[in-house]
Amino acid sequence: MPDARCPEPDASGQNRGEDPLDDPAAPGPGQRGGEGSSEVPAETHDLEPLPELPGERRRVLALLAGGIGAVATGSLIVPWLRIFFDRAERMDSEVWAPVGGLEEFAIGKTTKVTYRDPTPLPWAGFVAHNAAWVRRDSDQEFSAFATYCTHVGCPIRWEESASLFLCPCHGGAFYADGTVAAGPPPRPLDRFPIRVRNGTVELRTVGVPDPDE
Amino acid sequence: MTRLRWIALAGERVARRVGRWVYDRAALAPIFDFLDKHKVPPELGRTRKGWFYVFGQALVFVFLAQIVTGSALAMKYIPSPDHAWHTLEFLNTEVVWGGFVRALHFFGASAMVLLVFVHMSRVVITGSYKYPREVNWITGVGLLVLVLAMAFTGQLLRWDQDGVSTVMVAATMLGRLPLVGERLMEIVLAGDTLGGATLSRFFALHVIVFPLLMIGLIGVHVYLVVRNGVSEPPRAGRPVDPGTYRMWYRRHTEAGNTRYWPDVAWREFVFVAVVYAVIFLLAVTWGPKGPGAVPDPTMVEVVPRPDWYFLWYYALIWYKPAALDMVVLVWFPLLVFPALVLLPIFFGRGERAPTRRPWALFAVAATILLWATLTVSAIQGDWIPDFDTEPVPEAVLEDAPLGVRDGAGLFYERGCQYCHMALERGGTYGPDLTRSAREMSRSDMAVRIVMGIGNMPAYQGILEPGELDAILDYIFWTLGPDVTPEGD
Repeated sequence: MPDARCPEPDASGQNRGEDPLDDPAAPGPGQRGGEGSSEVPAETHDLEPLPELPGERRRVLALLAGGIGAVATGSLIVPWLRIFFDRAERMDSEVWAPVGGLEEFAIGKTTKVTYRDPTPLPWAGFVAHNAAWVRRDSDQEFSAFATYCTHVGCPIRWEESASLFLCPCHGGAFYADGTVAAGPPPRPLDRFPIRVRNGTVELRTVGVPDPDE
Repeated sequence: MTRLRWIALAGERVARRVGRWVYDRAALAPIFDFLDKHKVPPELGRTRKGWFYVFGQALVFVFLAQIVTGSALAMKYIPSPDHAWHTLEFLNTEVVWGGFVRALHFFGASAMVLLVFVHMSRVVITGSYKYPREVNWITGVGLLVLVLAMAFTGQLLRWDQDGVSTVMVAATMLGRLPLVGERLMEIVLAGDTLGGATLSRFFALHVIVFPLLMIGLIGVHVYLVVRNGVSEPPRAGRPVDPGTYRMWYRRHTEAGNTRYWPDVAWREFVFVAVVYAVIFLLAVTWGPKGPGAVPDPTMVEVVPRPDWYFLWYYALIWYKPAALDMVVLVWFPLLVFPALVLLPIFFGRGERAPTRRPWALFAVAATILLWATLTVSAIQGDWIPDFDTEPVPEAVLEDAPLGVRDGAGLFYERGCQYCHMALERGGTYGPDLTRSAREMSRSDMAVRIVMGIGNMPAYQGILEPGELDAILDYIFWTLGPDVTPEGD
């Protein structure tokens, strides 16, 4: 396929009229370098032309250049990936966080508790805080549910008089014990480990709870 | 010669000299010469079909506008989870033209998403992805992914409740992938949960990584459009034969003698002007989008909604049957793009005319119809409980017996009214119970309330003794005094 971008020399004539500078003296495409090539002396230097490199050697040199390129690219990509995949360490974020005194929870009632991430980044602001739904099942027994719907992760709200958790995205509903009541959620609400210690209710902060646990 | 005229002439001489110098040293000659000579299929210049070939360039120009408005916004935006929301408020209220530029950026993004699909539809309809333009198409699919990724991350950077929900939804959906799910979830959140590291990575992707990839891919895409030539409007009975196509195309364009500049370029620029004008107009009339409520994860009483470009998907994950859960949430997004990449490999030759390719027309029409239907139904959101519904006013219940009044109160309190209508009041998730009462016996309805059915929760553990009867009294009372329910 002939290159449409390589103009034939005689085309330069018609080109001049539409030259951006509208200057008849401007060099046309056929005369690039317009210093008058006929005046260039035939003998420009007195070096003997070097013989072409042997094919074997050119292959080695190309391999060398390519190898340097690959190593350089790799040595930049690897640290990039390391930063990209970096995450807060899991061990640090699992602690028992107090969420209230025993007397604050009525038996059979579900309450929203908030807690602060144990080791938030200093600039985390709003998102250092998290919420969970805590239900006091009996005197010493508690259940703690994540506030995210198991369908696609929208925040669920507890409707006290209806005794249901409702999701505002796709109408998922859960019973008070976290099992699916209606709608598209595929599994019960995720639970946090919860315990009572010396009259204080404590929640095990595990980030977004792992469905397998 | 007056003094003024002399100055003008001298100025002109200097300008010409500078211009000539730049023209020579910057080696502009081949570029101008190429622009001057590049030929396109004559149909594009001489017939109105040219108007169907303007979308690609409009995308490039809107992309450039996005770089301009986006880089201006980046000067004020702070990608920290604590500050992002405040800097957007600051842009809206304190910075001169800040809100206007935010609006331009939002409506520019909307134009990108819209145009990328219009452009792609045109390419499918005219079969332009066929030989020898397969890689044009493949780079185009890459650009489609990037445009959607930009729309997604952009919505997230608004960092209001919707933005936070966007991350959570993305994380939850990825979390459903087998094997790698949990790991991917941690990568999206940059940790176990939403935190200080979550936002900045999306900022880096939206502002640096994706735009750079886009610039690269646009470069390849445009280069290939130039090298392979703009595809000629197809004609039935003129199939693409890889053996002869390139030669035929060269003869066709040479003989047609229609040049890109300005024979067809004027249409593209007129269209770009229209698109810019619409974006400006929308930005002036609607103003910036958001930010909405503060991004506080402990606030659960919110109704998150994606921006309009993802509403269709938001509706799709409601409509799909439960059995297709993994298909729609995981395999569809995962496989649709590889399938698009492979399209020209398997259908790379033969007829290009839409009249000979009814399946292509059908696919485009079906996609548009499906998209529109899903988007409209997402806006209506019939399946969303009506959290704002109000209890039945006392005045309506004036003549009602005591049990019915209790029932009306319970109908609201126990959440029936979030999803069901009675007396034209309530949600649309479940059936209108005034209407159901006309067709159903009292005992049938009682069974459904107690046991639940389909998307109806079982109320047996929720209702106190006597409440069921009160609610049923109310529902059947709404039929009016003259109607006697069947059965019972």
